[in-house]
Amino acid sequence: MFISIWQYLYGRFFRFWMKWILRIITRKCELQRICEGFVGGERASKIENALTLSKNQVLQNATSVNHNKVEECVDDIMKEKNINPKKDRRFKMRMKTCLLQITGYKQLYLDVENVRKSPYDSNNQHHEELLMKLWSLLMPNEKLKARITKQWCDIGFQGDDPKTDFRGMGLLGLVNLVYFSENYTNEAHQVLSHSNHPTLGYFYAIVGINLTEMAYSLLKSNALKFHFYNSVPGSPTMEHFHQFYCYLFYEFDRFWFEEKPESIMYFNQYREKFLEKIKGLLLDYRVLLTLKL
Amino acid sequence: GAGSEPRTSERCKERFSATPSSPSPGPGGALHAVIREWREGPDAQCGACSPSRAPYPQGLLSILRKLKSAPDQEVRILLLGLDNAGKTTLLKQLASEDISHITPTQGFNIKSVQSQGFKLNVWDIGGQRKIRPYWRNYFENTDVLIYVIDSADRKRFEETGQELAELLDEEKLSGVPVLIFANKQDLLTAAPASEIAEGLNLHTIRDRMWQIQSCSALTAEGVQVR
Repeated sequence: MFISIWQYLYGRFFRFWMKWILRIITRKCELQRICEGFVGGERASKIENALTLSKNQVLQNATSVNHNKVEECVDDIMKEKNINPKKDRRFKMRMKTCLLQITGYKQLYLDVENVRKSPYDSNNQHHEELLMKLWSLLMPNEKLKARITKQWCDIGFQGDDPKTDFRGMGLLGLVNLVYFSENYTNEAHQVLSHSNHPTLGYFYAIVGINLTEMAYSLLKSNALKFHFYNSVPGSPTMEHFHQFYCYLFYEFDRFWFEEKPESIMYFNQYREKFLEKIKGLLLDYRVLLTLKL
Repeated sequence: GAGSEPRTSERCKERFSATPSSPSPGPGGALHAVIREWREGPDAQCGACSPSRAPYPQGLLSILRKLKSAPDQEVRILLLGLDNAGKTTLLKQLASEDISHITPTQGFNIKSVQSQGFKLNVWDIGGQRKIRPYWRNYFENTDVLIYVIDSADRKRFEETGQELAELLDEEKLSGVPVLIFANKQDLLTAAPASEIAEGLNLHTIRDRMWQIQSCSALTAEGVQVR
């Protein structure tokens, strides 16, 4: 109660006066103070907050500026806030990086959403090739006997045709699986062999698709901001999303074996527990989740 | 709820004993009449006889009303069917949740839904072949079995029929009313409920209340319970 009253008063009145007083004392605007006082994810996220809360139209619009217009936008901000580039030489560079990170995150969500929204289509040659690639990466020593075959169950699809397993994750699920198998082949093989464990086994491909949903939802809810702000000094790309997915898959496998669930029927409970753990890690402004080999 | 079950199934048996043994009762036949009697409201129609006419009748509610008369009762509903039949979409639709991010179900999902004085505890169990042996762990105390069929997946009609037949033979599910959802009616290639009913020989079910219902879990047609 007191906290929310304080937050209201602060946001409404005190914030303005605080900024004004600090500006007089330090002779710097809020953005400059943030750029100097903080680094990495904390800096970008504080800048994002300051811009969003700003009453100045130029600053407000900066969080959704186009990728190519970032440079221009920084110049406009400096004009607007009377920042002398000679007095604060690093501001321009730092601000540019922050804006690339902030706008890049939004763009990344749109890009990921686009891939997710394209359903797996078995009439699309590109989709079919990706599926075949997944097989050959995971089962290099075994040939697929037919396009529709029970062999798909060996890599954890539900039935004899994987196309129905992608569902709400569309092509994104497949692209994620292929990326993991291609860029972390040894780890993917290790995880696949774990998934065939007689008692602790699970279904590799559909767990993978489920984890695509986890990565996607975290991205959508902005929970990955600190992580991407810390790991990418610019606009995060699809590649960075895949990297995070690989981290999730590898860590989930480890988590599953540590927890030793009674059977696959408890998957959702353990998934929830794993998700809570990841969400906890992502709250730290210094967070950086990468697959360490 | 166990006390009311024998009564309903007993009554159901009586009704079915009046059904003539000859198959394919046309419109106005005995089967039609029995099913129509279960349904309520002026739009009542028999899913087996005229499945494609919109609006879809509300199958689940009519079964619930037959099952339990007192309000504020908990009903345990078991959702089964092959993988990709649409069980989770149906579950989320019943709970008015977003259905655009669904992935294959590993294990099970459970949701509680309030509907017209009933508290529905809906258990959605994964349908892939390798986890079907676990289905039996969820049979106990089931009030209604909802069996979901992908009406467009004709290649697996036989497989889904076998699974259903095995379920109906289960001792722990004996007498439990079964509602069959002929799902994915939004697809052009979907078989009508009447064809599915005939293919599955549903008219031979004599030991319990049953219904088949055309629906599309995607568009929510035929699945509303509110």
